[in-house]
Amino acid sequence: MTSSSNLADLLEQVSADRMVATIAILASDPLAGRRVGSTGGAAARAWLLDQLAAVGADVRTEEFPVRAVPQVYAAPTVTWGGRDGTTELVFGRQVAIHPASADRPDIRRGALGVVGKDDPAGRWLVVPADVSLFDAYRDTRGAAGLLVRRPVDAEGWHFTMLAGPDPGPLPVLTLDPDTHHAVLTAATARDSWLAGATPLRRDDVTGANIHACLRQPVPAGADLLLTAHYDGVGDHPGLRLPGASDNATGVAVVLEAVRVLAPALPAGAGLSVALLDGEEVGALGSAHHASQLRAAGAAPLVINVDGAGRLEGAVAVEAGGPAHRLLALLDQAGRHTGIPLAAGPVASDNRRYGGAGFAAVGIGAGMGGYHSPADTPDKVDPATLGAIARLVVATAHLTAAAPATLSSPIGDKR
Amino acid sequence: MSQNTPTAGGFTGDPAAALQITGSGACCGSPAQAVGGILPPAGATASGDPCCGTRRAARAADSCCGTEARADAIAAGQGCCS
Repeated sequence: MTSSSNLADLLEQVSADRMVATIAILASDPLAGRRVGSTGGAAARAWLLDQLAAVGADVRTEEFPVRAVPQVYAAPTVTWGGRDGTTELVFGRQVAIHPASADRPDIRRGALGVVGKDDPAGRWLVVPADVSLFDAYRDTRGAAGLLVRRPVDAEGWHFTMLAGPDPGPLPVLTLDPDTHHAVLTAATARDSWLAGATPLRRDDVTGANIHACLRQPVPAGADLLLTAHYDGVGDHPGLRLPGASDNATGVAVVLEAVRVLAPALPAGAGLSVALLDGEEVGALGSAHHASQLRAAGAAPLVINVDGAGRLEGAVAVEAGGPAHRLLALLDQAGRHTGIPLAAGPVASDNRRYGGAGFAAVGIGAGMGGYHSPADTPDKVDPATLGAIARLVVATAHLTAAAPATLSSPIGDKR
Repeated sequence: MSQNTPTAGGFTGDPAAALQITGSGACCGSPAQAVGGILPPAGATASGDPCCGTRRAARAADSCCGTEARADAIAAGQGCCS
C-alpha cells in the first residue's frame, strides 16, 4: 500500500472487490444475521476485530446491556380453513409474528371473527386494514389472538423489526395482504377457523461495540470518527436474514476507508472507528458510545454509514449537532468525486451522536433489501460501494487537511 | 493538488438542509428511507412510523412511541427506531 497523501492517489486505492468480500463474510450463514447478543454477532465481532488489528489499529470492545430483544424461537405453525379447504401458511411470507405479540408456544385453535363485530371469546379476530391495533384491543376479552395486515416487500417477504412496543396480552400474527383479504372474507362468511402459535420470547443480552484507534488526535487537529453498525435483525428458525445491505455495506465501507486513510492521513488528524452493536434495537450502541464521549470531553466529527447497497439518484445525508463545517467538506468531497448528495433521512446511529452535541452526518445510499431474506449480497452494487467509500475517504481527507479555523461557506457558528 | 474539480456531484441545494431533517437529534423520528422500491409505500405500513403498529397502539402498550414515553426513552438512553 502506498503512503501517498495525494487525494487522487487515495481514491485510486479504493477496492470494491475488497468490500464485496467483506460483505460476503458478514452476510454468511455462520454469522446468522448478527443479532445483538447472538453467537453470530460475536463471530462477526471477532472477525472485525482481526480486520482492524490488521491495519494497525489499537482495538477494544465495550459492552452494554440490552433488554428484551425479541426472538422468534420456533417457526410458527399457522393453519386456517373454511368452506374451501385448509391452508398452512408459509412463515416469513404469508404469516409472521407481530413484535407486540404475547409469547404463546402452544397452538391455539379458534373460529375466525372480525374485530368489533363478533364475540371475541375463543376467536382469532381479524383486524380490518382501516382499524388500528389500538382500536382492535377495545374488546378482545377471551380472544384467541389478533390477525393484522402487513405489507410485504417486492419479493413477498415480511419485514422484521426488533425495535418496537412491549408485548401485549394477546398473540398477534401479521398476514400478507392477500392472505389477510382471504381470511377476512372467510371470517365474514363464517364457518372458518385458524390455529396458530406465537413463539416469541424476549431475551436480556449484552451488546458490544468495537472501537479502533488508528491515530490519536492532537490539540486543534480534526478528530475523525467513522462509524457503522454491524448488527442485524438476525435469522429466524428456517429463515436467513443476511443483513447484506443493512449494514454489512456500511461496515465494509468504513473498513475500506480506514485501510486507505490510515497510512496517509495528514499529520495532526485523529482517526478512530466505532463499529456499533444494537442499532436494530434502537441505536443503543451509539447511545452508549455517545455518552462515553461526552463524559470524556471528546469532540469528534462523526461520519456514519448505514446502507451503501444500491445508489439511485443522490446519496441521502442527514446531519446533527454543529455539523455545518462537516457538511461543507462533505459537499466539497461530493463535488470532487462526482457523487450527488441530497438532504434526506438517515435514521441511524448518527442521530445519537448529533443528539449528544457532536458534529455528525449520516450517509445512506440505498439498500437492495431491508430486514428480510431479500437483503442478500448479490443485491449489493459494487459501484455504489466504491462511490460511498471514495466519498468517505475524500471527506475525511479534506477534513483532516483543512485548517480548523477555516470558515465554512455554509455558515458555521463558532 | 486540485480538490475542487467541478463535477455533477455535491449537494443539490443548501447542504444545511441536512440539519433540518425531521427526527434529527431524536431516537424516534424519520422512518427508514424507502429505497429501490423495497419498502412499502409510506402510510401503508409501519414504514410511516418508526415503531411497530400505530402510535396509539404503541402508546397503549407503554412503548416509547408516545410523546411522554419517547421523552423518557431518550432520557433513559433507550430507543425505538432502527
